[in-house]
Amino acid sequence: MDKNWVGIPVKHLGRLKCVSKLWHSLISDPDFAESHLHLSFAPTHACIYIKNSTEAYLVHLDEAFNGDNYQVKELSFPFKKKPISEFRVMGSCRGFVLLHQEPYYFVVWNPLTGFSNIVHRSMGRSSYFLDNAILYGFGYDASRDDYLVVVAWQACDCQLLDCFSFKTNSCISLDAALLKPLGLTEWRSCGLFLNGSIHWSSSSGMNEALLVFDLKERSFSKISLPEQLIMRGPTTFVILGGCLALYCHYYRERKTHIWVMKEYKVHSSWTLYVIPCLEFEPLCISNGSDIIEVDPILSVPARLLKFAKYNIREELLQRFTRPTTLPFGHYCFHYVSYTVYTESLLLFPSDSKHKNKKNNIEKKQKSINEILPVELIQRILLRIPVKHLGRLKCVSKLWYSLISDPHFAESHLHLSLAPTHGYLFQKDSTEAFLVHLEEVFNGDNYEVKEVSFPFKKQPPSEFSIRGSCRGFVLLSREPHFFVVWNPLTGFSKKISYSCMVPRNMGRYFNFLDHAILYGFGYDASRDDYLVVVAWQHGGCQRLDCLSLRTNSWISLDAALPKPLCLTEWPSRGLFLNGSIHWLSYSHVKYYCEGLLVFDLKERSFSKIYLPEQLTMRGPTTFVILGGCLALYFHDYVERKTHIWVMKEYKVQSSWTSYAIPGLEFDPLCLSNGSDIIGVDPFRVSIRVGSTKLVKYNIREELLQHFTCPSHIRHYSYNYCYTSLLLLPSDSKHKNKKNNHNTH
Amino acid sequence: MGSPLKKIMLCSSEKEIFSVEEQVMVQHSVIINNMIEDGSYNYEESKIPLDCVDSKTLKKVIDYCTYHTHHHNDNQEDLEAWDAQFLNVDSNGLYDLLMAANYLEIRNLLDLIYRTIKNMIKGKKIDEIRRILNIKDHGFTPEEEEQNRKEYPHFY
Repeated sequence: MDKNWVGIPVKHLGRLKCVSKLWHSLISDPDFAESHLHLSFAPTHACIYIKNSTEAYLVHLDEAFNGDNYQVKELSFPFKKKPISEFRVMGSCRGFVLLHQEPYYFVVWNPLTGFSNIVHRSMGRSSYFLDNAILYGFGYDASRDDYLVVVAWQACDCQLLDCFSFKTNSCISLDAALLKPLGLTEWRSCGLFLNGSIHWSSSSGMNEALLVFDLKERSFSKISLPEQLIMRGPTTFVILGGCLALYCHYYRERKTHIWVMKEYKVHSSWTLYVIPCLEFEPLCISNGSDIIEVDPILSVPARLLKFAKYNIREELLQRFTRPTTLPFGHYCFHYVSYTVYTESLLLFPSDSKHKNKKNNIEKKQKSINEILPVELIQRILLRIPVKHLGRLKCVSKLWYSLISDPHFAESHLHLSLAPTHGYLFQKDSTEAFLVHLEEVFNGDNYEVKEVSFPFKKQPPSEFSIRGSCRGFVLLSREPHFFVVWNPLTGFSKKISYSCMVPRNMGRYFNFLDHAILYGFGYDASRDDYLVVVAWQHGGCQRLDCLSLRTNSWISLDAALPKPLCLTEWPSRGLFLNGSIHWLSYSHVKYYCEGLLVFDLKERSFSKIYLPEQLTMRGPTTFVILGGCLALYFHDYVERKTHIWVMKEYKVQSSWTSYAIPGLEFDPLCLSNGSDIIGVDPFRVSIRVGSTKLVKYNIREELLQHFTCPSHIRHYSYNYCYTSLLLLPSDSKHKNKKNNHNTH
Repeated sequence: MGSPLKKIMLCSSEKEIFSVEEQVMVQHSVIINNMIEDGSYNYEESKIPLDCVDSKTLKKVIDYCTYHTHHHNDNQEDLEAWDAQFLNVDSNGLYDLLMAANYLEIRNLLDLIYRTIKNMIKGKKIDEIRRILNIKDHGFTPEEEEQNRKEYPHFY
């Protein structure tokens, strides 16, 4: 499609824009304008000729010869007409015409698009710059996307070079680049732009070379002329069909010789064409082989501007006379100054910036999903607290599928820089409340919500919170049920353990209350959640393990390190790194001697030793803080809470101690990597019934504290990482559903 | 590696060449650090082509790295203020920066941008998020959309 348009003259494209929205956006694209300019099979040329310093006319040269109805239009210049100010055409480049308006304005104008840019010429060093100019030219520096006006001019005793940038609206002095000295000529030499450089025919009286100023490098060089032209009389420099060309008139032969440098900067490519016409002034090449020109000789008697078209086989093809109704001035050679330019749809850099803004708006309509690769969107989502992700699912279908992906939930749990902790606490055996710990301290509006459990409230059945793992909470419920529940996603699963109830025990047997150890964990190797229970039955200790994937109990009695010390209360294990951990007590005086570790993959026990300072100490509590095993105890003498953290898993030397200046502070979790959030029961009066949450950072300062509404009594608590994870069976179900959808 | 005065050349998608102190880029960009370390960069000739980074964005990236190299001892507040000012761009500018930082693996800049986008979204209603991120075509069928709105009216 694009290719087709390159063949359409640019003049018609403006009209084609209106055909459809798609065409409009394709044609308006700056890149399209660029490629059209370079690749077009049908470049069109327009000639502006100026009647006097306030009036000008435009004719499309190609139209004039194509038999179309051509028009000679009086131009309405983009500057205010009244009062009429004098202007001159200083050059053209890529479809833009540079005008100079007295007293000191540059006007860049694309007659086709109507774009214009009027700049107050801030030529700091000379206000009479055109009068003193030796060379000037208008060109485009692609490397900087900038249009430039280059002027070399004569100051009192030296020559200076200034370069005006339209992008920055400022003028740079480049005196050092000048090849000194430039020959002074009667006439200011107007440069022509080609291939990123501005070219001038040599300014000295004799032809030697073309002077070239590279706009990117900002330096001068020379292109030498064919020998036949050197030391010849006046030659005129033009650009024909994208090539440098020089022509001169041979009065004796009544012919015009045109030398064209067919390959840029290849000296051997200079080629001579002879046009059998005296004082022929070539303007442009049309259709690749026809030279259109002004033939002043033919026009002198009628004082008309006469165009003729020759092809390079030297035949006079057509001529065209401007309608006589537009009389020109009296001077046959000064009657008209003209400039020829190739039409283009290009936007000016500042203009295109403006357009870009517009494009941006269009781009915005395209949305983040189309601009950013999916991986980056996913990485953004990984940063967002999991609590907000449920809501973000509704933003778009793409986000929905990204967030719903089980792998995403897995990586979010592990990689998230913002893990969030829900704090679930029971008021009594039938009611519980949930608060998001991070929210409490972030100054957000936090809510203490009564939890609506995934089981019927009526009749109120007793339940207790037994543990958490990867965002799932394990509840046990009368009679003989485990419920696994993800408070965030609302997923829940109910499993009966009635098969484990001994015959002599009744309805009110609570399995975990009769256990020695229990814990809830995840076996990644089998993608299975497990409830592990060690209990005393019939005079011996047993170890049983419930697989939530298969809904079945496995007996692992052999793995038990016998005998376990019986404690008054069952010990609840904590899950970390694929294992469940318990504090283990020695038989002597119930002192804790280490951590008992049950590896869910290997299904075997091992031990982690405590720092010496902790062994043989009084009651110690075991928690997991920021993904590390931790123990704490209350020092009633110093009125402090000491926390020991094993900073690297199973590295004995990494046990580190922190002291928090609060007695009976119960750490709950680590937030933002350095703040410890905990409950301070010392301030809790059972009778008043309020829980106080506190945040310390590890530099031991009390940061913030927060009191729960007083109607909630602190009874038993549990915290969990919130996660979007699905239970294996649940995710299988979802997969099925997905499969179903795709069929 | 490399003396602080050594310069390397970066080339934007528009083929514009940027010359930067080697140390500045090596410190921040994992990719460039690797290139310098494995010797695949030739100081005399080569320039590192960054075809997916336009000049405007590349300039900002270089600004960021330069500032953070020379001001890493400044206090945190000043740096944050500078960062906030630095990221005061429209959303497309932000995405361009994100892609550039991702391509060059400039981790602290990535973090900064991720955080900014996160804050743009956090705690907002769905309709607001769609407006901020200019998501017009959310891809849900009208029925799904209606279902969602019915199910979670407080999201919208």
